[in-house]
Amino acid sequence: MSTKEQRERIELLQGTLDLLILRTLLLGPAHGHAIAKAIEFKSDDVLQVEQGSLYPALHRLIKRGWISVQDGISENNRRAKFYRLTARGRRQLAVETNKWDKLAGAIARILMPAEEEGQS
Amino acid sequence: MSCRKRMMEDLDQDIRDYIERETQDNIERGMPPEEAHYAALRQFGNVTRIKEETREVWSLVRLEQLWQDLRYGLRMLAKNPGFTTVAVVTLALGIGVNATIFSLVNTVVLHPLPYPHAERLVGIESRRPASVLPYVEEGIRKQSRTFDSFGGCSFNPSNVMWNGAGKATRLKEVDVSPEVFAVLGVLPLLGRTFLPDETIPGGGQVVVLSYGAWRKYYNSDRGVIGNTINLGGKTHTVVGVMPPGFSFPSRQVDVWLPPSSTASLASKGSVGMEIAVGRLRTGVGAREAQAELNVIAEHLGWQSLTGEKLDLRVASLQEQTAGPAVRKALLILLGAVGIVLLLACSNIANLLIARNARRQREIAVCAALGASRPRLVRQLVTESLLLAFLGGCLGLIAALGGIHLVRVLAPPRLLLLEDVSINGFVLAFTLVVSLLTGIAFGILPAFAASKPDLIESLKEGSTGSRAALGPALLPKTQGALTACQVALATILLIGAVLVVRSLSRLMSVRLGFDHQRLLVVELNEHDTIGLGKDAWMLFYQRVLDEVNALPGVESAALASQTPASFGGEQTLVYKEGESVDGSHQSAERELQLFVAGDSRSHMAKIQTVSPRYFATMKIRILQGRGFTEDDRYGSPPVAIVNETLARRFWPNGDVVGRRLNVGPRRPEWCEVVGVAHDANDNGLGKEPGPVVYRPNLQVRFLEYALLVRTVVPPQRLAGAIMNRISSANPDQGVDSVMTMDEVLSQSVIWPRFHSALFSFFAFLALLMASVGVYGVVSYSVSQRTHEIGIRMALGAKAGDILRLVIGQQMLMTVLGVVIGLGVALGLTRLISSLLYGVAPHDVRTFVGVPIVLGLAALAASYIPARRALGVDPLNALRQE
Repeated sequence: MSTKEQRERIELLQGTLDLLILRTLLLGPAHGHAIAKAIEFKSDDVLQVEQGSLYPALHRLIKRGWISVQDGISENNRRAKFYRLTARGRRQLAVETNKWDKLAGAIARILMPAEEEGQS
Repeated sequence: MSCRKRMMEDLDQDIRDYIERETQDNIERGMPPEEAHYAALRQFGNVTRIKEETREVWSLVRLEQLWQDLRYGLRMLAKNPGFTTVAVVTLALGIGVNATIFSLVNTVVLHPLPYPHAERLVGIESRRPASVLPYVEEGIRKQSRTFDSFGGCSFNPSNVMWNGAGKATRLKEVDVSPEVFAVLGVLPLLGRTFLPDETIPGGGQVVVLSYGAWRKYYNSDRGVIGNTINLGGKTHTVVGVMPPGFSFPSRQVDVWLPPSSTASLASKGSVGMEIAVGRLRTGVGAREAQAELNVIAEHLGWQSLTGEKLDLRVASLQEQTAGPAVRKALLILLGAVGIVLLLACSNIANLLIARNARRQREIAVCAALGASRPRLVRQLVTESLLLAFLGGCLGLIAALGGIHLVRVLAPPRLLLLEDVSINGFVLAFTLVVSLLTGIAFGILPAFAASKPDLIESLKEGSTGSRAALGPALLPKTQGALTACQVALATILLIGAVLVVRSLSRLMSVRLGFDHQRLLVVELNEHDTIGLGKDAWMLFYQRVLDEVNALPGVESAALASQTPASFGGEQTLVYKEGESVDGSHQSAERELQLFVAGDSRSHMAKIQTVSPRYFATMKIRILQGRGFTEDDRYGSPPVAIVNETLARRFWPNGDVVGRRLNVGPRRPEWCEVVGVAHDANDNGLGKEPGPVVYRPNLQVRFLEYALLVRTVVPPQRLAGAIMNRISSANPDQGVDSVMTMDEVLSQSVIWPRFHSALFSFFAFLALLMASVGVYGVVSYSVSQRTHEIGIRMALGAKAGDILRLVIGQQMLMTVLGVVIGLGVALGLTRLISSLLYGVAPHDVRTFVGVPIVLGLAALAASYIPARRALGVDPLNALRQE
């Protein structure tokens, strides 16, 4: 299943899963399994997607109109549900990404000096 | 709806798809297909819960769940009719008594006045000097900034004679200044109210009728405006009729007159209480108005002859309407029913804990199938709320009956009783109380039950409950609840016992006369008005003679006031030698003397009696003589005083032969010929006040009660006595015929009311606490049958088993009693106003109640505990 040790995997922060799903779908429509795998794969298996949160998250995004769901045929020729980014979802992704950059930058600025102090 | 349904189908498909893909991945990693499938399932987690949580994203889901929970809850309640019945009936009783008492409080305390913005209405009384308001009213009106409007009135209705249709009728009259109607914010139904110039003496021969009087005496004739009406011998013009709800200051009022009208001046004999009503400006409190009035009173500089300064008091009119004693009594009753409700709650919580424990398996299955903890709690609380709602509905029905019962039981003088009903306020109160109750008794058991040990509960054959809930939690929670119940029951029982003992003290109080075999016939005064002085004296003489001659009658007498009942005429009395000029005193001067508490004068009750009064009542004459037939018009005026008055006027005891004057209405000097033993003259529980007796043959008094001492049961003679009265004067009506015992019980009607209600509430509390203890013990016995069987097989004796099953309950009972006693010690002070002759910390009560409760708890736990003794060890062990 996973190559990383269990303890190295990090549970996703509240709300970040939405951002990651949107970002994943930017590359094109995907089904649920593919979204989860893509997030795990891209994060070198550091981030683990709980199914318990994936499906509620997907439906939350549908409800907000940021993604839509439609029938499609998967690569192995089976019918599957494909999630697709909507135009509003695309705009939201930009907003969320921007927000995340600011947050990450801010946290990094707080944490950095401490490390430097620690090194010196 | 269909959109959501499609979403859910999509979700199903997607999840299946996900698991298939994961299985495929696992197979590719080299797992055998079956193992790969299970690994995928495990990795995915609880499918049902994930679906459920995803569903919750779609908002209506909560409502849907609620609907589900409700249906499920109803099914569960129907499946368990015994539990449901006990719980709903308990709740219905708890909520019913609360709704009943609250409907009383709502009408009498919260909304006693049917006027717009009644909370802004205040009454202004002048404490010192009394009755001075009319003189300062104008000054206050000019200077005040806190009042929107302001007007004076007499607060107690007085009688005015209406000579119409050839017959005199007594109407209840209240004087109001023209502003009062505007202050109260009520417009007349017909015509107008008073004009400002109608307050000028002589200008105010006008009258406003109450709706009731208009209907009764004028058959709701709309043409009544402009009609004349003879009141107190003077012609008045009807100018208006008030609408049905208007009953200021009380329901008895028939007519309103301007203070200057001749009729109202004529009807004022002694000092009447005066009050002004004011409407405060928005945002101004009674306290600010009081502060301002203090300044104004200072500024007006009014000063009495004895140097008394003006002292004005402002109080909310709503509070004054019911009177502080009634308000307090009702609030105490509300507290008592609150305790009953708490008891009901803890009782049902206990039942629920036991029931949920039996349902552990079901709950564990729900949890295993994906129900989250909050979801489980929600389900269980929904069931409780359902119970509470059912209890509330039934409680409302119970309250309808309760209100009816209160109307029967309540003192007739309790204001506004006919307004007591289940209105919107009471409905809202009941709904809120029901919901709070449901949450209160439901939340604890729900949390306790919603965390099952899945493995233990789902094990084949496991009875579940004890193991599942954790061995310690269940008995501890139940024990705490038992202690609570016992404590609450202790508090209520102590309150009830104190109130009931007060009543019995009141009933056994020394009366100063013999109350047995005494019939009281109150004669209607209107019918004697028409008779001239001689005819009137003849009438009474004839009635007395004929009744005295009846077989079975020991003695008969007349008294102007029924002994031991509230009311009667109070007048200022002076003793000789010390009155300023010995002649007619002005009302103003009389007032000054009274206010000053002058030692030469005293307020005393005037009791006009026939010669055989003292013999009939068996009141002892301590000094001098009683009245005789010779004490009549033309002979020297005489009086008899009671001990209390004798002591106040002539402390050195030399009383007979002194002279006193009974005030401005009958200014004449009377020689005191005797001193009578103090007899109760104000109703039970009231200390006898000063009384002056006058002979009925020397004073013209209209209203008499005929007192008949009999040798046979007094009711038997009622018919014969009535015959004699109507043969003496066919027009003479009778107001009431009662035995003295009935008169006495009327004077304790309030204490009776409290005692009846308190006893009922305490009985409910005792019953609920006993049922609670019974339930817990019987549950614990049923859970421990197996354990008891083993112990018995190993040689445990009956005593050991009993100790095992009821030991903890008894410990908790003792703990509860101790807590209850502690709280009661603090609380009984609050009910001291309801007590008579019993200390709030009465030792006998505080010792007796715990014993009774202990015995009740012992009995309640012994009955189910006996079942434990009947356990057959063999059977118990076979159950394994």
